[in-house]
Parts: sequence; C-alpha cells; structure tokens
Amino acid sequence: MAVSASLLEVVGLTKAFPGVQALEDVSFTINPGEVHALVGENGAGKSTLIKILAGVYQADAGEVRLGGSPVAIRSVHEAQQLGIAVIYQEPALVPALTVAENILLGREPGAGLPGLVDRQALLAEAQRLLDRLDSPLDPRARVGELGISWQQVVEIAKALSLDARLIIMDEPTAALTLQETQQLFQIVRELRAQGRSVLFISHALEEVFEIADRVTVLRDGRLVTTRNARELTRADLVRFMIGRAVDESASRARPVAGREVLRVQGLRRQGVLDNVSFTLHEGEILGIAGLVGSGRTELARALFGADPIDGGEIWLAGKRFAPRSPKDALRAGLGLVPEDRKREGLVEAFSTAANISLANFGFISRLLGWIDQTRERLLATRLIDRLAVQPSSPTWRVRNLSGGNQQKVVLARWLARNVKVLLVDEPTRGVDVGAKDEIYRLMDELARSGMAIMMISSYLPEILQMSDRILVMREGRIVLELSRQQASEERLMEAATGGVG
Amino acid sequence: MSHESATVEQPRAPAARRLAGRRLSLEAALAQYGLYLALLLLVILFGALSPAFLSVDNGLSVLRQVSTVGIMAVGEAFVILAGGIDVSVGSVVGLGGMVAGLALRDYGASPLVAAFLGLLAGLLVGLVNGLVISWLRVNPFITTLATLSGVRGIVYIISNQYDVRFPALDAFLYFGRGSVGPIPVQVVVLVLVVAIAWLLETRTTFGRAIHALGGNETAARLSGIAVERVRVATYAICGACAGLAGVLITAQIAIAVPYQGSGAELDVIAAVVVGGVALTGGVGSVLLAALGALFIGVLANGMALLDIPSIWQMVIKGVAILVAVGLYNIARTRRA
Amino acid sequence: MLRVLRSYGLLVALLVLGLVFALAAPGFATFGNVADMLRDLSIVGFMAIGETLVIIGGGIDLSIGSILVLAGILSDDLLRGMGWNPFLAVPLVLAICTLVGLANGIIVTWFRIPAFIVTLAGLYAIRGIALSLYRHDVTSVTNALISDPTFLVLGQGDLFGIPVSLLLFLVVFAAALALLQRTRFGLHLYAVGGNDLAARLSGIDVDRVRVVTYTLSGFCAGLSGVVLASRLQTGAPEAGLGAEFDVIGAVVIGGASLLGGSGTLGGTLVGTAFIIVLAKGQSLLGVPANYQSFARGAVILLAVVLDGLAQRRRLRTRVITRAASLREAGQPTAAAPLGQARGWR
Repeated sequence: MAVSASLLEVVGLTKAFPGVQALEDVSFTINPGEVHALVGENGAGKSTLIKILAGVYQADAGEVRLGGSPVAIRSVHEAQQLGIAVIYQEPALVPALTVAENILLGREPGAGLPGLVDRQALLAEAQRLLDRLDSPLDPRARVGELGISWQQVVEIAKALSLDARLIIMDEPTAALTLQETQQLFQIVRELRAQGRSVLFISHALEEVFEIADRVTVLRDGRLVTTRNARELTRADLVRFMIGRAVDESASRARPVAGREVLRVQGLRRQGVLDNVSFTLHEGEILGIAGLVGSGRTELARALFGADPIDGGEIWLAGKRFAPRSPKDALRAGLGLVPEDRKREGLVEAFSTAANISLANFGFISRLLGWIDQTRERLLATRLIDRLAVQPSSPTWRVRNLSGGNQQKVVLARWLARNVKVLLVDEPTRGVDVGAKDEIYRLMDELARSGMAIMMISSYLPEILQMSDRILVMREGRIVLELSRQQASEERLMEAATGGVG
Repeated sequence: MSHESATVEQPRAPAARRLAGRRLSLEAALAQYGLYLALLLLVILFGALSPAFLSVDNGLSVLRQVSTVGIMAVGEAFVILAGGIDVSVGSVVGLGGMVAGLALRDYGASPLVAAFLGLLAGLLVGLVNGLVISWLRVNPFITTLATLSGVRGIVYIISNQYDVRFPALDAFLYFGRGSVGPIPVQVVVLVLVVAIAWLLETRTTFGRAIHALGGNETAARLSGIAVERVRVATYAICGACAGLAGVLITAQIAIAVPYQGSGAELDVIAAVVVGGVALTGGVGSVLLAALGALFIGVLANGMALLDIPSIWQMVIKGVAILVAVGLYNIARTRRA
Repeated sequence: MLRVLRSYGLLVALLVLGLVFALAAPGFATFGNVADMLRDLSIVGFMAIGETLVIIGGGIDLSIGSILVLAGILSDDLLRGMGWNPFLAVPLVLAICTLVGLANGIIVTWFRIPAFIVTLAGLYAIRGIALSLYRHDVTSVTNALISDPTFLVLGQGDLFGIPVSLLLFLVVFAAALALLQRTRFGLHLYAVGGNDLAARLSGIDVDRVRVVTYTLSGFCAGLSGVVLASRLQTGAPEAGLGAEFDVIGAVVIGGASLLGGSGTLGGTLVGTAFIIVLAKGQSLLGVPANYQSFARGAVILLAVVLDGLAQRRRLRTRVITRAASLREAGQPTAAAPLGQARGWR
C-alpha cells in the first residue's frame, strides 16, 4: 500500500466552538487507494473534522492539502469540486425519484432539446456506476422504498459519478446488519481498487480491523496517533482511544443494589422488541449496550409510555404498570432523558427554568394551573446550583447553552421530580469532557441515594465504567446479561454484533 | 442518527450569545416592540394627514370595528402558537350569529342565553376541529378548510338561506350597540378577552404547555404534557372566540345574515401574523395578536378617511402584511 | 393488498361512484351529461395541473380561484366591452395571469413568506382587483354576453363530437406530463419538494424551480378562467368561489402529499374526475348546493384521513421489514424484492 504522493493532508487543523475546543492541531495524511478509519470516543472531534473536510465548517487554523497543495474548502460545493464526497448517516436523497435519477441529480444527460432528459442514457450511466460497485441494485427502483443500506449504495454511486477521490463516511455501519455491512465493505474494497480513498468513522472496532488500512485516533480534539491497522492490536486501539487500559477504569464501588423496583416480562412490539425481560433495582445502574437499531431506545420509550407495545408486562414496585402515555409514566415516578435532546428533550426557545418546569407543572402551580413564579425560580435555582449549569441564570435561553449544560437541564427536570426510575438514553452524547464527568458523578450520586437508573449507551467504556449490571441488546432481544466484573468491551461488542469479527 | 447529533455542538456568533441570553438583542427587541412603534407612527401619520382621524368619535368607531377581529385573533393566536391553524373562523362567526338569531326568533330565548348559545356553537365547531386534527391526524389546514365549507353550509341550511330577523330585544342589541360609559361594549368584551387570554397564556401551565407544544411537540410529550388535550383545547377556544365575535356582530347589525363572516379568516390570520405570531408555532403572544388586529384596523380606517380608492387600500393592506411577515422572518433568522 | 388498493383504489372508487350515479341519478348516464362533465373536468383540470406542480414542489397556491375570476372578467371586458379580437385578447389575459403567478412565486421565495399566507392574501387581493375591473356596462340585450364565435369555440365548441375544451385540456395535460417525466425540471421539482437539501447539494436552484411552479399555476388558472368565460359567455364574478378547495382536494385525493415531493398528474386527473363526478351526480340528484359542498368537504377529508393512515402503515412496514431482515442474517434486506421483481443480475 506504499504510495509516494498523498491524496489529502490535514495539517495543524484547529477548531473551537463556544465552550469547547473541538480540534487542536490535528495533522494526518490519507493516501490514495487507502481505507482510512477515524476512531475516537464521542466528542473526540471526528465529526468536526469531517465537517471541515466537507465544507460545512471552516477551521480556525491549519490547512488542508490536496495532492500537496493547500486548498480552501469554503462550501459543500467546493468540497465536491475538489473530489470530496461525504455520506452522512441520513442519506440526502429524494425519495420519490429512482436510483438513477438520484445518482445523477443535477447532472442528468440531455437529449436533443434543452431541458429534456435522455432516460436511456440516464439508466445506462447509473447502471454503469452500479456495475463498478458490483452492486445488484436496480437503477429503476424508487429510493423511498429502499432500506438504508441500499440508500447508502446510491450515495456511493453518486460520489462515484462525481469522480470523488475521497469518500467520507460517517458511521456507515451504524444502522446496518451484518450482511449489509459485508456488502458495504465489498463496495469499499472496490473503491479502493479504483484508487479512491475512503475515510470512515466507526465505533465498531472489529470493523476497523477488518477493512481499514490505516487508523487515525483522536482524543479530546487532539491526534493521538496514525498507524497501520496491521500494527495495532485491539487493546492498543482501545488504549489510544481512552488513554488508559480498560481495566484501569475507575470503579466506583457502590453498595449492593436494593429492592427490585422495575420488572419487565416478555415485552414485545412487532418488528422492534422481541420478548424483552429484565429487572431493575433501587440504587442500581443498569447499562444497556448494543448497536444502533438494536431496540434499546425503543425499549426505553415503551417503558415510558411514549410508544405502544403489543404484549408483555411491566411491574413497578410490585404493581402492574401499563402506561398509555408519558403522563402515566411520570405519575408513576419514571423519567426519560431522550436520545436527542435538541429534537426530543428541550424547547429551545424556553429558558432554563421553563425547561425544568416542563415536567413539573404540579410543583410550580397550585390552583387551576396558575404558575407561582417564585416557586418556579426557586426550583430552577436549586437545580442549577446542584448541577452546576453554566451560565447560572434561570432565564438564560437553553438554545444558547453548550451541549453539556443542555443535557444537565434535561436531567434537572427529572431530578426535580425525585423520580424513582430514571431512563437515560445516551447521557453524554455531544457533551464536552468536563460536563461528562459531572454527569457521571451525578448519576453515581443518584444511584447511591436509591434511584434506579437504566442507562443506554453506544459508548462501551461508559457502560463499563458506570454500570453495576449490563444488558446487551441485539435485534430487539436481550442477548447477554452480566455484571460489571464479568464484562469487557470485547464481550459486549461480540454480543452486540452477533459474535462475528 | 443524523450527523447533527454526533457533533459536539453548533457554532454560535459569540456576540449574539452574550446578548440573547440576558438582554434582548436589537432584533429581538424590534420583534417585541416594533409593532407598538409602528402603530404609534401610523397614528401620528394619519393624525397629521386627516383631522377627522383623531376625533373621539372616529376612535370609538375604529375600536368597535376592530374588537370583533381582535377577539377572533386572540383565539386564533392560541391555535397558531400551539403549531396549528384554523381557517374556519369566518364560517364560525356566521354560525355564532345565526344560532343566536335563531334562538331569539324561534325559541324565544333570552338575550343572554342566545348569546351563550352562539358562543357554544363556536366552541363545538372548535372541538370538532380539534378532535379531527388530534385523533384522525389530519392536516389542520385541510381540516379547517373543510370545516370552513361545512359550517357555512350548515349556516345556510339552518337559516333556510334567508336572513334571520329576530325580535329586537334591547338587552341583546346592547351587546352590539351599547356602551359601558363612553366605551363600546365590544371593546369591553375585547379587553376582557385579551386580559383573560393573556393571563392564561403567560401565567398558567396551560399557556406554558401551548408554547411548549408549538416549540417542540416531542419534548412536550416526553415531559408528560397531554399534547392532544391541549391542542383540542386551543381549537375549542378559537371556535368559542369566533362564535362570540359572531354574536357581537349580529347584535350590532340587528340581523343574522348567512354570509356573515365570509372572508374574515384572512383578516384574522393577517392580524395574528402582523402581531408577530409565527405560523410555525411557539413564537408570539396573544397580546400582540390583538395588537395586530388593531394595527390593521387603524390602517384600514385611516385609508378610508383619506378616501384612498379601495383597490389601493387592499394593495396597501397586503403589502403591510407581507412587509410585517418579512421583517419578523429576518429578525428571527438573525437571532437563531 | 393495501398497495394495490392504493394504486388502483381511487380508480375503483371513481368507477363505483360513477356507476352509483348512473343508476340513481336521472340523466347522469347520457351523452350530454358526460360531455358536460368532460367540459367541467377540463376547466377544473387546468387548475389542478398547475396546483399539482406547486404542491409537488412543496408549496401551495390558494389564489387560483381568484386568478380564474380575473381571467374571466378581463376576457369579458376586452371581448365584449371593448370589442377586441380574441387572438389579441386571450394571449394578453393569459400573459397577465402568468405574471400574477410569477409575482406569487417571487414573493414566496424572495421574501421567504410562507406560500400559504402569500397566496391567501392573493386570493382576496386578486379577486378585489378583478371585481373592480368588472365593467358590466350592458348597453343593450345583444351586448350582455360575449358573442365572438371564435372565442366561444373554446368553451362550447366540439371537434368530431369531442368538446374543444377537453382537447385543449388533453394537450396541456400531455405537455405537463412531458414536463414532469421527461425534463430535468420535472426531476428537479420532485427533488425540491422531496428533499430540498439534497436538491441544493446537487446544485439545483431551488428558488427558481419554485418560482416556475407558481408561474405555471397562474397560467393554468388563467386558462381555466378563459375557457370558463367562453363557456358561460360572461366573466362571472361568483365563479371560482371555493375552487381552490376543490382543486387542492383533487390533488390530495390523487395521492400528492401536502408536504411535497410526491404526486402524479395521473393521480390528480383521477382525483379531479372524482370531484367532478361527485358534484354532477349530486346536483342531478337534486341535492341543494350547501349540502353539496358539505358532502364534498367530507369526502376530501375522508380521502386525506385514509391517505394519512396508509402512509403510517407504510412507515410501519418499513420498520418491520428492516428488523425482519436484521433477524434473517444471510438474506438481503426487504428492498431486494424490487430488485427481484426486475431480476437480480
């Protein structure tokens, strides 16, 4: 794989956002005809880096060089012109149009009169591109009816049609099955054989070893190392990523868990959950691991009454619990910190105080819904102090808070209610390191005080660090249950991915 | 799982962030108080151009006209704040008046009962709107567009397509022509409605829920807010307000005509929009919606006094609405 | 099963409706009535074509009814009032209506004001302007109606037994079909309405596409107005009241989503036919006008509800097939059936 000239060089790239240094002096090289993995914890800077290359963000300092010469990537279009194509997790495709029409959108081959499209040529060209990827996808299929893995193929074909030299993929396998992942890798190998390069972000370490030629590890916005994949072991990689050997993670020895507070039996929902059963105890943090799409979020939502279920039973503190809406769940003492706080957790136009009171109407109002402003302010101030939300003004609009502080606000909402069971979905996603630590400490405190916490996380070190017990889900089922002592990243990953790789 | 959620955070211009959290930035201030300013300027302008404008008589006349639209605008604001829309208000205005008229004529109802029935009819239509939109999950625009036709049809049916003359009971006509001291009754009702609505919106959990619903429905739902119930309530309020307005108009003209309120929906939505309530929901306030109605009313009155030909009046009105919406849009995108 | 119903269900419903009326309503199943309905179809159809384009692009045009009135009144004034030659008058009227549509489009895209507001304002403004231009100064009985024979061919003439307006409609329909399916613009329109981010990333000028749809919508509404004026021989000011509701209803019944990005002219055609048949059948049955609009509203509402249910069912199906494929490791995902139907390679 030794090549003389590099394809793309990143030199001293630096980027800061209010409150956090996303990238600091990152430099590495991508060679032509190379599959390059970009690895790191959440918040390590991978997405930021990709967005700079894609032309979405501009770096504060440093430069990007293509074929040796510095280039300015000021817009998505410029990135495209330079031969950089990005495939995000949510495909940017038009559902009503066919595969061929999507691939060549904006560049359709003409036919005689201006404006007319030569459909034969369109299909032929699309077919040609799909052939080069060795994909059986039918160019006449309507994109809206395709599953995500096929949509990815369309995006790759599109990149190919733009003659992209560098194809960047942001967690492409997150929503794919094993089979689909293999198909994707086949295509990636095809691209490599054509002399193109692929830069992909992945959390699935064995995928990295399977397909990548070289690996770049980021941690806290800095480059840790860039190595040949062959020279690394899994343990090495993990160590680079988290800066410490996994078994050295601080174990917060908590007292043995108390009474059973939640029992789930045979929970099922067509196509989403399959016979899920487990228990949760007071003072316990139950970690739920698994890949995206394994049903973890759906489980939390079902428990919270946000989604209906087809069957199964839930017992809360010994009593049957069948929530028909989140309101029921609230009344029963549950709380949910959703996966995507922007879309599901916060009303961005509201202040911190108003967001906290959103689930606490009973507290802030006495008679007929009349809001007691003093009570509201006191509640907010109390929680802001406890969670160290910055800035500490209760009237600050949450839109202007950093990710970590926003997450604290969502947590504060449930703390105010003294919930018995807290369901947390990705507690530290998009949260800076400082706030992350605070949130961990908070969760530890809450558990010690008797709260039962079910913590969903895609981030294995977090699961290992925080959980007393761990469940691994795959395809809507629980496939593994173990204590923290028995667990390791390898075992968890194996169970989550079905054991291959 | 979009690329957004995996990122650390979105960049923000440092200056705006410093200001927006604590004090109001210039754009936000304009959005909040710009309407008051514009109204003031308008009054000054017309006052200067037309001597008749600033007379007490004219003032009261404007207020009388504006009141009914203002009441409807308040109801509509509730719906729009929660992220919906109700274009059936024009027909509900007709229904309210017609029901009141028929109650007086055919059932010998007392004025108060007749008025109440008119309001109730509006409320019921609002409930139907709300239930269809919440339960059957039909697009609010289509639903209320259907109700617009349907209710108008009902009005024609129950009136047998004729105007309904009802006994001219003083007590009833008082609603439309009377005054409390120097202030016309409609204005008093408007002020009451605005006051109650304002309190509801800003000081109760119901109002908070409405804003939450319009701002981020999912977050509201996941915080335990009974989203469907709140939504139905907003439509019911809107219907009730329209029904009330219908009763007042009928009381004023002393006859219930089947086409009453035709086209009112545009005036109402225009008022709400000029008042800075975003059609996407979650932004604005009922107070400003009422003010928007006042602004448009003053504009129309001033133009009429200046004898501006009606085509131009319509054009100016349209331009004013478009300019207002445009400005609010700019202020909002700048701030976000 | 549901998928078949969705594609052909509407057609079946239409045929059933037609059958019901043919049996129940006197005079429905006659040549004369069918010709009448076809003329109605043409007039509403023009507007529906324009509206379909706008809705596919993610917008909405509520001013079509008023543009129709404007066209009718202008035709009346020019042809009857001022005695113009139809070959001069008609193109001028159409040009004016097209410009009105263009104005709509520019205001929506440039000022970023929701289309709903702009066209709702247009609905009233244009009607107002049209009404003020209506000079029905009848000087004698002979002057009361438009009488230019060339002009009257449009709305009342026949060519080999087929109404001219229908032929005209078919021509416009074919042109629109070609536009949607054979040109770049058509593809780009679906992109703009379906995923405007993707459209932008592909270098499509989203604003320009939208402006074009509103312009065409204005033209189509103008066409409706002209043909209607020809048919009624006068520029009726009450015409087109509520037309926008019927037209949007027809488009939605025909399968287009109000969110944009989907919809076909074929579907719109069937939807329009549905509305026309319903209206004609009801009036032949002697249903009073207000009950009619009531019933029509109910039908449209029903169609939208059913469409909503079907859409949600479709989304659920997607989840199922994806999870099912998760289970059957070793089998290609559910999307494969499409490929299978057309043959794996």
